[in-house]
Amino acid sequence: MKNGPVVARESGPFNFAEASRNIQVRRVLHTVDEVTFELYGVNAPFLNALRRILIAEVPSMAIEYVTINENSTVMNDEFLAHRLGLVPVLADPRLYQFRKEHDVPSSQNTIRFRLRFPSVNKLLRQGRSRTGEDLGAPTAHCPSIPVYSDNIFWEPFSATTNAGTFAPVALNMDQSHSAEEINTCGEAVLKDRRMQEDASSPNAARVQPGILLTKVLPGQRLDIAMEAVKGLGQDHAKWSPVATAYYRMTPKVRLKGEVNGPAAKALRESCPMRVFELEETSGVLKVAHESRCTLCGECTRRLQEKIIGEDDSHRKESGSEDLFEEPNCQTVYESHHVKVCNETKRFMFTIESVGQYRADVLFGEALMILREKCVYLLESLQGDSESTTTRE
Amino acid sequence: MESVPKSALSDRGLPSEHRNGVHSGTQPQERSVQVEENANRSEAVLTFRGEGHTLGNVLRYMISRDEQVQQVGYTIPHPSEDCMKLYVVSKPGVRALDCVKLALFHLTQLCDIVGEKYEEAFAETAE
Ligand code: SF4
Repeated sequence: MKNGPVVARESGPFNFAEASRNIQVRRVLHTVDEVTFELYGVNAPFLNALRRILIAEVPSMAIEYVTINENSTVMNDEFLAHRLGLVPVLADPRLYQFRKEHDVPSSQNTIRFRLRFPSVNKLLRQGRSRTGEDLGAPTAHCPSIPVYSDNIFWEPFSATTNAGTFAPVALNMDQSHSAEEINTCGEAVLKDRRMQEDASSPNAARVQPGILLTKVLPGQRLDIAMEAVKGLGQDHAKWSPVATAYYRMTPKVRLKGEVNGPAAKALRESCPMRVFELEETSGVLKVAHESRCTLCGECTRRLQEKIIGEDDSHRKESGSEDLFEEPNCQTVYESHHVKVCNETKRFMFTIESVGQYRADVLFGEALMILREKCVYLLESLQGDSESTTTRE
Repeated sequence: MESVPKSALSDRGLPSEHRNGVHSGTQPQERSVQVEENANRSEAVLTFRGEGHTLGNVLRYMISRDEQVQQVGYTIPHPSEDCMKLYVVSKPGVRALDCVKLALFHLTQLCDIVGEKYEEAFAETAE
């Protein structure tokens, strides 16, 4: 009996030696919060698994429990809590454990933060300079004061910073104190405090600074305690450690011969991504920025053909694998002059970190999680293999 | 047929061991896998809990590369139910479950290779 394959095989059987020979990784962009790299010799399902893991399964810390002690601003408690949840917590998630339902909050599984506005230090300074003066009621002249995430401070478990209970003084705003003035004087104090905390602990936690949380008027106050816990992006996007993680096949743009004159001009103009350029002296068309191509196909559209004076009988859309130039290329669009292809084995992978991880460690984390899934299943199948249910 | 070496389960260990001394959380989701086979074991249906398209598609792909496999597919019967089913038919005389195990093993190898090459490429520090 001939057993014809029912599986449409996408590539030959996996072979360790061959794979380790073929697979290549090339670094393209490498900064603290973004990496781009080119992968050769891997396949889309594998990369897609990694992309999905990066978005939904690499754990990070985020604010989950918010206790509002005081909120006299116009922003509703629940809105504020939601905004706080989305502020990135800059702590290495690998240092913490998941907090299960009945776990006691501790430094192992929770980071405590506190937001007080006006901050205690600010109030003390204010109090010193303007003691006893009446607190001006908000007037039309009073600017609203922005509250940034810079005001959120870490409260370590061991030595809970009781640096002054909430001072019973409200921010005094009159003409002699501009908002900037207050902000700068506050900032200096805040910086001091943050540096002390950083110095006192090797794994000091903080949140991404510079994020606007709400705006308050003089006399309005905020006192909020927060707890950040470890979680996964699949539960809520606030736990996703990446802003984006995506991959694309590398585009290839090929001219089928020398193009010059009006045709060259028309082609150059046709591309919204400015892939083509004209050779300065000869006016011959050349592909200058191939990687910019978005595979839109504009350069092969009928409109251009009209200008160029060709019909579009050569134009093909999508799909056909051919070996016109190189193997592993899939033609997406084709016209008389141009051919736009996808290189099916060469991928560009881009990861933008939110800030919890350095961007270059994220990919390794995703790989480890995928690997762990496989090892876990291998182990459970190994144990399982004798006790499987048999169907008739 | 190539089979999964015993050492595959202990050679590199779980990722937590890579993270020298650093706590790593357990996956909070409950995971399990159930296997149903037919009498001659050339057909298997695996029911996964705690896994979805992330593993399903890549596993399907890795299994489909195996020449001992005739048919493979996966489905998530209903999105509100945490359940992913993988269906494998192997050639007569080959146990379908072994093809799944082999694919899982190859996937760990692929992770290792890509991880290694990635480390090499990113050995220098960020700009
Ligand atoms: S398909 Fe053509 S027009 Fe579109 S971006 Fe690529 S080169 Fe430019």
